[in-house]
Amino acid sequence: MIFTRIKRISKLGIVNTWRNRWLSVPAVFIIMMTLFMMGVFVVLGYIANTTSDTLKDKITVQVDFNDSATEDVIQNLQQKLSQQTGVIATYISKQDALADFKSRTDIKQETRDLITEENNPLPRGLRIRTLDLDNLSAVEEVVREKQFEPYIYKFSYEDNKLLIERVNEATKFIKKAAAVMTTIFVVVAIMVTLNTIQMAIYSRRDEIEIMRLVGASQSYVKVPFYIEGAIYGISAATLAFLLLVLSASYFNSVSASYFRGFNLDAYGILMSHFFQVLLLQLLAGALLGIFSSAISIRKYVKI
Amino acid sequence: MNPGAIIQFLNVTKNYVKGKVTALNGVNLAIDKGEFIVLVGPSGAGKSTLIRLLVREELPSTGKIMVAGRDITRIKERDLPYYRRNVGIVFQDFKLLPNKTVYENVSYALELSDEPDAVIKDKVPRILRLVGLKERANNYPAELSGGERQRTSIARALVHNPKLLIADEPTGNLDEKNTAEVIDLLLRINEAGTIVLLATHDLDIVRSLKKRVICLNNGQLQLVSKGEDKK
Repeated sequence: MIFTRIKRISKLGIVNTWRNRWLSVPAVFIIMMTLFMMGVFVVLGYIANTTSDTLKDKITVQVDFNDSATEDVIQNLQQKLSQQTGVIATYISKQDALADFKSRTDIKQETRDLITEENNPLPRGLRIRTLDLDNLSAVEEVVREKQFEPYIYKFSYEDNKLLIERVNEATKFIKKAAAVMTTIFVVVAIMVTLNTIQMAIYSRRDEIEIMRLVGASQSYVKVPFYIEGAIYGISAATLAFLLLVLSASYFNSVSASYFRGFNLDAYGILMSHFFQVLLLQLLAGALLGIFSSAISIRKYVKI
Repeated sequence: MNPGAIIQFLNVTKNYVKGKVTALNGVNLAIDKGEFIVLVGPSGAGKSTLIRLLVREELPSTGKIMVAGRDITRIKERDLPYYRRNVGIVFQDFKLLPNKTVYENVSYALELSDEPDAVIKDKVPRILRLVGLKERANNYPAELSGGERQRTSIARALVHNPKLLIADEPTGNLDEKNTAEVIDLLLRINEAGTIVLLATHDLDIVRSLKKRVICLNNGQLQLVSKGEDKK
């Protein structure tokens, strides 16, 4: 009996979707568009996040010391800096500085050859990276302490302060905007799906009434609609995913010429997370469909 | 009180809009086994309310409704489908599913109540023969006359062998010939032992039937005629 019931209920769900295709197809398309927009913003948000992270990782400030600075002084500053949260200070010895200099391809070979191990005017220094650009002000405070002043040859933060602050503000804004847009589109997707399915079910309340009056048990009335909702959601999600992949590959071909040097590989990101994104979209679609059906049914099916 | 009655309304009152509108006011009614009863009354007098209470689409504000010794106002939601299978109902507007054939409209009701396929295959043709629609089994409602549509909906109402068949203005949309057919069918169903409650305001029918007639007026019930077979 349970087998007959499952068979009949699934058949009802599938047959109803097909018989109501003039209603199903537009519903699927509307849900697809919102899922697609949601996907676009998730991917854009991801790109914005990773790009701003790489941008931030590229920012380091450096303290260079006079030759008069003793190793003790340098170590003292390094320690003080490392005590700050999210601050990493790496010691650059004369040899390290030389090796760095030698590896710089932007300087002519002849110039590079001028400096040798025996004749090395390059200063010792501390290279400072912070996990959060906001920590740089704390770094500045420590470096500015009176006791270090006579030994410091150069503190690169001063030159780049404005630029760093701008980058910091910009990345923060981008992250916030991406999060807000993604949230908005998730909410929009839920609302649109809910409304679309609600309308599809509303137009069939006569059928629901008949089912009730002929003594259909609750599962016969409700479950076929859940199945329909799931079918809507899953087909919409599949189409949205295809559309997303197509647009990403198109975006790649366009962006390559516009943003040279920046890694805006939307297609690559999508492909490297292919199954996660696909699964997530399908799951979101199916759940959204079932959830919307359940809510609409509750509204229109008085038992 | 009538101890032999199958259906009893005991002092039933139904108010709408937070007590401002009284659709039924202290109604007492007993329907006997095998009875054919005609319910008349102007529109808005409470006929539909009485029917909705009887199929437990609504609950009375006060009072009890006993069906076969059971107070139906106390049936739990999940048991309602089982109760409703004992009550067949047909409407003025037929309420058939337009994208299902005559056969499917009838078999659907059985499918929805977990009847095995073998039972459905056996039962549906028999019922279609009873209502005279065997030849029309594969037609869609749009291809049928009004009378045929109403007979399809009666067939659907009968699949569960209900103890009570409620017909709410079943002939309201039908011409004279089709009306006669439908009434004749209802009488035959009643003769086979099913209680029939016919709501109508077609006075010709009321007069020709010679059954018990009750009238609802302003939410109150009056006996109009006892019926010839009940002297």
